[in-house]
This record gives sequence, structure tokens and C-alpha cells, in this order.
Amino acid sequence: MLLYISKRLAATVLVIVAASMLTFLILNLIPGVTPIMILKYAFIGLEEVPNDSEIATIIERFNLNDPLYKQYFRWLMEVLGGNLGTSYVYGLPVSTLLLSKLPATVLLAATSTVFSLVISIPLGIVSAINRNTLIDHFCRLGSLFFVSMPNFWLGLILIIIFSLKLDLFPVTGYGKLEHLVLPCLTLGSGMAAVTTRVMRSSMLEVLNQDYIITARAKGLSETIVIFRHAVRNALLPVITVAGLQFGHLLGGSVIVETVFSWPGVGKLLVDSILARDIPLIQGCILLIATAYALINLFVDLFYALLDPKIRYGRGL
Amino acid sequence: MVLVQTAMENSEQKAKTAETLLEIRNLKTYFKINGSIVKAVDNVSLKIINGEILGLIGETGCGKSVLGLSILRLLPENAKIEGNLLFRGKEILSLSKAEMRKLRGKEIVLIPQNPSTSLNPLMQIGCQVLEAVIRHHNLKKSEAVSKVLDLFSKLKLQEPPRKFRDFPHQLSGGMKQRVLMAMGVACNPKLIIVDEPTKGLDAVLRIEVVRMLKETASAAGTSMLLITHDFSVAAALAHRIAVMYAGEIVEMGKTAAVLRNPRHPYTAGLLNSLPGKGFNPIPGSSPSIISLPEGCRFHPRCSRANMKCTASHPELVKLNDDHFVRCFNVCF
Amino acid sequence: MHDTVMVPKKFSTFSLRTANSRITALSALIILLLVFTAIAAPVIAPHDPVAVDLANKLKAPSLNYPFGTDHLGRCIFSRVIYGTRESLKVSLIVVSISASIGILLGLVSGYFGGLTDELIMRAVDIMLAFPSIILALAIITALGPGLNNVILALTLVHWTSYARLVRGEVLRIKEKEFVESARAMGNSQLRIMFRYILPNVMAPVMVVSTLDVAHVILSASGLSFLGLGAQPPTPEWGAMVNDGREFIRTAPHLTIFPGLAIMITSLAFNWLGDWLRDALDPRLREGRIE
Repeated sequence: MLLYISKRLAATVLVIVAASMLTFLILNLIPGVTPIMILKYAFIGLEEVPNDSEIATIIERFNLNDPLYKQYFRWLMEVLGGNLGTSYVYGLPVSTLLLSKLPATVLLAATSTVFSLVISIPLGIVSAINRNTLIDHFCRLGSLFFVSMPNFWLGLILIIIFSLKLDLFPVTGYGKLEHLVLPCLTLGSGMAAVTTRVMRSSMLEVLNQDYIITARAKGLSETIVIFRHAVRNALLPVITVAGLQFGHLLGGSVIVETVFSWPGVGKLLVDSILARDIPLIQGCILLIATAYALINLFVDLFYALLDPKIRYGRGL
Repeated sequence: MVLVQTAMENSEQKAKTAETLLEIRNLKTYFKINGSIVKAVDNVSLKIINGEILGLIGETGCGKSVLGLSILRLLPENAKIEGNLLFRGKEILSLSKAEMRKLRGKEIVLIPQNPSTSLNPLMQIGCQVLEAVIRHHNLKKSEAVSKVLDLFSKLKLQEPPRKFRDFPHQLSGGMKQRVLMAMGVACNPKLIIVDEPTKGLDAVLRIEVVRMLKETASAAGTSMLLITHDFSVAAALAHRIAVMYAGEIVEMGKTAAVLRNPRHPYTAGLLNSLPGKGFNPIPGSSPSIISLPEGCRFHPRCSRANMKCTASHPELVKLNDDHFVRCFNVCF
Repeated sequence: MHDTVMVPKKFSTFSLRTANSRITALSALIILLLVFTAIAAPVIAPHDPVAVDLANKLKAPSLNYPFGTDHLGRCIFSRVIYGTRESLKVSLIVVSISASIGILLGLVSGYFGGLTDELIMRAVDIMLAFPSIILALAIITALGPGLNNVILALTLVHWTSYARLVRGEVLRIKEKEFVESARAMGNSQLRIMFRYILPNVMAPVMVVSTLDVAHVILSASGLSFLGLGAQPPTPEWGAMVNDGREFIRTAPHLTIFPGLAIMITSLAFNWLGDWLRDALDPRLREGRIE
């Protein structure tokens, strides 16, 4: 188990480093664009044409003439030292900006995850137990609907219905519970739809297993067979999928935060992309990739804790 | 003739009280698959008396496992069971679901066929046995636990307290089989349905399992329905043998009689295909129960088949005292 | 299950079964209709999708403007019709290129194994270290906004799932007897890869790529919604929803119709993909019978 944990930990660190490298590479891929962008967005304004001396100043100031790997290592060293750079637009340290936006994103992501699991696991179970009945078809059709719905549009539709027509929740805002409801519904429903489908097929798979017949042959009630024997086994694959889903959730938060003007990392990322604020973009993406890697690490460890095969050192 | 000798011994041990425990009358188990009907068990009648072991023999796919699961009503919902299943005189098929659950695991138990997949991988094996004990006995948890530990040591599972907390993947196939047996005998059932107890086991383990089954049955006087494809296992354990082919019983009689004078060409063929008897397999393969041949279901593979066999379907006829056969051209 | 019959858990009743296949037929019909719409857009659309008519701005749906008009007086119905072209173009290009890349790399990776496999799979792992849309966002940042850059970014992100899928299938298939015998008969490596293995991995690839079309439509419209994809005045559904946001209080039809188009399109592909999975790939079938 200890070996397993340290292996996973090492792999996670490697993934984060690789992710940082890829991010840096992508963002600095096209030479010559960066200094002009910095100038336009941060100093002289979008409509102005920068002159050569201005560009030279910027290149010098940000050491943009060094080879990419040198720039990367300089950046990486800074990052390891806790310095993510300074935002061109805000003139503030990137780390300060990220830390100020992080709580909102964590809050939204966590509540959406909880919401989606609370909805999807029971629905998946009910759907599987009543396979091919009206309830099952209804659940499947419903989940397909939500999988197919663009989340930015769902968010806007919820605003139209619940904020503008019914006046139940505010359109945007942050700080109160009522502000959280619509973003959480928007972000959680897509995830719930996917998880419902996974839970359903996982349950169907488990209900076909021999040990379910064994359990029934003991004379156990159907409730005990379902909950003690079937659901616990069916949850294992769902946990893995929920981890992957969390990644989509972080991605989705970019859009949903934009729709609801939710002051989180996702909105910060979109704003910084539109402003081409490279250090801030790098910081946001690095933060999201790190969070994603850590979540997957936790999911794997949690899975190991649940699965006796891994817990007792076999299988891995 | 080792087989026959052991069979003779079995008959002598046969229980004195000839009271019927389970009577199956005209049992039909059908499945509806994509609109068509598949007859897995077709008009089977048989009796098991107290203390008796009935060996149900047949090739894979003949419906013997479905018959076993039909008795416990553990089939998927597209299965339709017709006929009568009288257990101690009571009709099983008309029991409510709750009454059925009281029967399962207490009066009638199943020892399932694949030990490796028949235990819940996420649950300590002790708890899986404990569950059955607590369900059917009014015991305190500590009492139930000690009962389980007791069972484990009786079935020669080493270090019962440690085994109790083990998970299925930590056990060998033989140990899993024993755990399932412990589960089976935990509540002193009247009837044990043993489904392919020796499937996939090596020779040593097979002997061990047969010995344990024999001890279990003789100790408590429990009846058994022994479902197997292995004549040697049936010979070693069963008092009577029923041979099943394509959903039907084709021959049934005392073990010694069936082994010594198989009257149905299929039984004779099966016996001849045993390694000790020259290993002559029956030509062809058992028919798909989705498309059964006309007439006698065995005729395409039968060396004795004639016009009559292709045209009409033979009935199960009584040859003598306790020997039945479904064939127009009985072997003598 | 047990040694006898192969049994589905429950048989669906007749009416539900036909309802299911009716929806499948419907989704196929919708897709055909979308393709037709994309091709015949100039014929179907009642107005020029980019013609600005400020006198008629923000009009509610009417006979002349079935979906109303937007803030520049453009006919939303015509824009939705033309938007079909953009969505299908993006998704078909992204799916076909990324699937081709993924299939090729997956084949090579699974068939040759060793260092090649290691390199390709580590590359896939790094790509999968990001939520896919975040990686696409990074690429678009570097390339700049625009629908073509969205296509490029999504292609660079999407090939990984095909590579993984195909590699897994190849590993399973290359041990089969028919591959062994093809090898014994002296076929070249290339021939074995493309003539013997490739056809056998196509069924799951078909399923995944159909579902992927839906996925790409959602991602691309999401990026356009953020202002990073199609640039004005291109009639693209995601960008149209974004245009409508500002007027959501007074003219919600700006938002509703293009979004509905996105949903119906991706729903049709999702449903068809589900159905294909049931029909083509028995191993992926839910609650399979064994």
C-alpha cells in the first residue's frame, strides 16, 4: 500500500511538471507575438501600433530573447519559489490573484460534485433495478438530454426561467447561498447525467454477477442484496469516472463562471485569455492542471482504500 | 467397476425414512428471448426423499443448473416457471416473495457453481457467512460469529479468526469452495442444491470436496440435489441418478443400476466417454435448446436411431421398480 | 451466468422497444436533415444571415422572421440555418482528423509496443493531465481566436481518446489466431496492421467517433460562446448565444433558438452513438448477457 501511494505520488508530480512544460511551450510557441501583445494590452492600448524601441524594451525587460528552455527553467524556478509572476493587466502577483479567486471555484466545484452524486447515484440504481421499464427509459432519455445540453445555454435558460420570469434567484452575484443555486445546477447537471449512465450500467453489470445469486440464495431481502452487495460493488467504477468528471467540471467552470460572472479561477482564465495576460493564463492553467492531477490522485487512493485487492497489496 | 462398487455402498447407506422432501411435477422453465421461447427445462418430474442424494447429470447446456435455480426461484425475470414444486408438501411456486426468502438459505440452500465469482469481492468472507446465520437464527452477533468460526474449523479452514476477516481474493479456489459450503450448511438446511461442485478443480481437490459433501450429508441427514457433469462424482455420492438431455430427463434410476445397465443410449454414451472406459466421446454436440430436433431430441447423435425416433417424441417409461428411461430402443 | 441459456435480465415490452427504435430512426433523420440543411442553406434560409437591418432589430418571432431578429436586425432563423454549416464543418473535420491520427498512433503503439508505445502513451498521459477544454483554451491563446484555430486546437486535444481505444483493441486482437496465421503466411507488418487488425477495431471507433461529434459540437460552440471561436459576423450557434446574452431580459429568443439547435444536434449524435454501441459492439453493451 505504501509502495502504491509513493508510486502514485511520484507519477502525479511528474504529470504536473510535464503539464507545466506543455503549458509554457504552447503559450510561448509563436515568437514575436508576446511582446507586441504585452505592449498592446498592458501599455499602449489595443489600437496603437508599437514601435521598434518599445518592443525592444519589452523584450529586454521580460528576457524574451532567451531560448525557450531557458525561459521555462527561469519560470519554473520562480514557480517553485512561490512566484508565479506578475499579471500584465492587473499589475498584481499572479499568486495573489489566484488565491483570491480560488475559494469561489472550490465552492462551486464541490457543491456541484455533491449535487450531481446525490442525484445520479440513486437515479442510476433505480434505473438499473427497473431495467427497461418506463422509469428506466425516462432516466436514460433524461440523462442523454442533459449530456447533450451545452452548459452555457443551460445556464442562460435557468436565468431566463428562475431569475427573470420567476424571480427566485439573482442573475449573478457571489456570497450568498441564493447566488450558488443556479451555477451549481448548471455545472452539476451535466456531470449528474454522465454519472447516472455509468452507475446504471455498472449496477446492471454487478446484478449479473454470481455473488448476487449467492446473496439472494441466502434468503436476504432484496433491499440488503441491492445495497449491501450490489451498490458497493457498482460504486467502484463510478468513483473513477467521478474523478474524470471532476476534470470536466473544472473545464466546465470556465464557461459557467463566465455565464454567471462567478468570481472564480475559470472566469479569471477567460478574462486573462481575452486580455492575453500570459503570466496569469499560465498561472490559471497550471493551477487547474495541478488541481486535476491531485483530485485524480485522491480518487485513486480512495479507490485503493475501498478495493481490498489493492488495499492488501495485490494487483498493483 | 469401481464406480458401481461405490454406488452399491451408497445404496446401503440410504436413509430409512422414505418420506418425500421435494417433489417436482412437470416442471417447465421457459425463457423469453427476443420474442422467442426457449425451453431450458421441459416437463421434468422427480422426487427427492429425506436424506437422499440425487445426482443430476448432463452436459453443459442441458438445463440442469436452471432446474436447480428454478427450485429456489432465483432465475432472471424473463424466466417462466410452470408445474409443481412441492417442498415438504407445500407448493413453492405459490409462496410469496417473503415466504420464499425464509425458505432460501434456511430450508433449501444453494452451493453455487463458480467459487471464484460467487463471493462478494468487497466483503470479508466471515461476514458473508455471518449474514446467512443472522438472517435465519435469532442469535446475538457474538454467538453468530462463534458459530461461523466453528463452521470454519469444521470445514478445515485454518486459523478461523483470521480467515473470517479475509477477502475472497486472498483465498484459493478450494478455500472459497469451503466458504460456500460453510454458508450452505450454516443453517442446517433440509435440502442442499450443489451446482457443479468439482468444476475446474484438480483431482486432489475434487476428492476433498466429494469427501466433505459426503460428510455433510451423512452427518445431518441432509438431502442433496447434486448437479454435475461428472459421473465419478455422482457415483461416489448419489443414491439415485437422473440423466438430463436438452431439458428433459432421459434416464433415472438407482445409481448402481444406471451405472451397471445404462438403458438410454445417451447414458451409455456418456459412460463410454469416461477416460476409464476407453474415452469414446459421443459424436456431435448437444443441441441448442433454441432449435431442438424433431422427434427424440437425441436422435441426431444416436447410433440406434431409426425412423420412429425422427418422427415421434418418446415418453419417459418405467422399466422396473425404480428405473425410468425415455427411449424407443432401450439398450439391454 | 449459468451453464445453460444466455438470458437477458428482462425482456423489454413491445411498445418500449419500438419507442426506442423510433427515437433512433428519428435521430438518424435529424442528422440527415442537418446535413441537407447545411448543403441547401442558401435555398432554405429566407434572409441573408449577415445582412444588418437596424430598423428591424430585436424583433420577436413572426411569420417573416420565424425565430425573430437579433440586435443587428439579422434573421435568427437564417443564421441558425447557416450555423448548421459551421457546426457540422467543425465537428466533421475535427473528428475525422483526430480519429485518423489517433487510429494510426494507436495501431503503431499497440502493434509494435516497446519504446514507440511508451513514447506515444506518455504523450497521451500528458495531454490527459488537463481537462480537455483547458488544453484547447491554451492552444487558442497561442494561436489567437478564430474558428480554424478552434478546429486545430480541438483536433490536437481529441486524438488521444482514439489512440488509447485503438491501442487497447490492437493489444487484444493481435493475439488472435487469425493474426497469427496471417503472420505465418508471410504477410508484411503493414498488411497485417491495415488489412487484418484495422477492420476489427473499426466498430468501437465508429461508436466513439459518433459520440465524439456531439462532444466536439458542444466544445466548439462553448469556445465560440467565450468569444474565442467564430468571429462576427459568422453565424455560429455558440457565438449567437453569446450575442444574445446582453439582451436576455428583453429578447430571450436570441439565446433560446441557437442553443436549441446545438442541443438537438448533439442529442441526435449522442443517441445514434448509443444505438451504434448496442448494435455494433456487443462487448460494450450495457448489462451484457453471458
